[in-house]
Amino acid sequence: MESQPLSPQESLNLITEVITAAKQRQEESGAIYLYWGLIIAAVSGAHFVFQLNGQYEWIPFPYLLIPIAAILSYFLFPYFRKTKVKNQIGSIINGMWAFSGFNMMVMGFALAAELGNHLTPFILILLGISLGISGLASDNRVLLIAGIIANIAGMAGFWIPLDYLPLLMAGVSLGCVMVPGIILNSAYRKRKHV
Amino acid sequence: MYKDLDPLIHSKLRLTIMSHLVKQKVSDFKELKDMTKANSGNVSIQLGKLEEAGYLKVVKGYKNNYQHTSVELTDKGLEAFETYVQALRAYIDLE
Repeated sequence: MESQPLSPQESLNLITEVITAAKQRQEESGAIYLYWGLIIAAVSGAHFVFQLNGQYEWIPFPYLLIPIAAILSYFLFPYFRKTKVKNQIGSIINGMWAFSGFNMMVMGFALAAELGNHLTPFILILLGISLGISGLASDNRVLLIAGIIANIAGMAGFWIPLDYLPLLMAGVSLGCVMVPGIILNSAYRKRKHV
Repeated sequence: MYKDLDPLIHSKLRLTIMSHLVKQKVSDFKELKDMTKANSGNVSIQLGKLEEAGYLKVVKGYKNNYQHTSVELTDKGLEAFETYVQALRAYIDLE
């Protein structure tokens, strides 16, 4: 970054950008990543276990937890109802997760038959893109790396046998969603104690 | 060019550092370097200029046996930043 002169408008834009990015980092508790990481891992893990035991009729039931969790998250996380930080970065991140979340739900519940073996890889790629963009927008390396890993895992998913895809989904949920949530939460707690 | 704008604040790197400190109050050299994506030498020079003007307090010490430089915005720095923003607003209203 050069020490160069700016126009007043550029200066004001720069101030807004830096302050909102700092606010975004300060208020990111990671709780939402912990929540979704755990739920998706539990659902996918249950799918894998039922499949392993030949209890195929039980497989759809854990997935019913996802829409319930989505409704619950609205009440559990005031972040989505009343955004603490009203800024463009926050709106873009929230909007992007709303769009990708909606698409994941539609793919999982309405297009599962059409997508077949490709459902999990597509969902993982979408998850990777969302995590990566969240990381880039909020200048958060943990989320960016998690996004890249989820994206690669999604692409690798096209070569993984169908039976192991729920396991891949569970692994990515734990490693790329829940673990970043734990790291973000730990940093958030440290900031609150300082 | 913009004579009412404090020349010490009115540069991209120093303004980024000041804006960050207005929100964070206290930061450190590493965080400022990561956030600005500038090299150590450049960050150090700009911090020196802001410190010389009394806008920042730079404290060099040790944290967990590693060298640590903490940077804090002073009251004078906050006042200068507020004056700068007021001047910016006046310019933007004129445009």
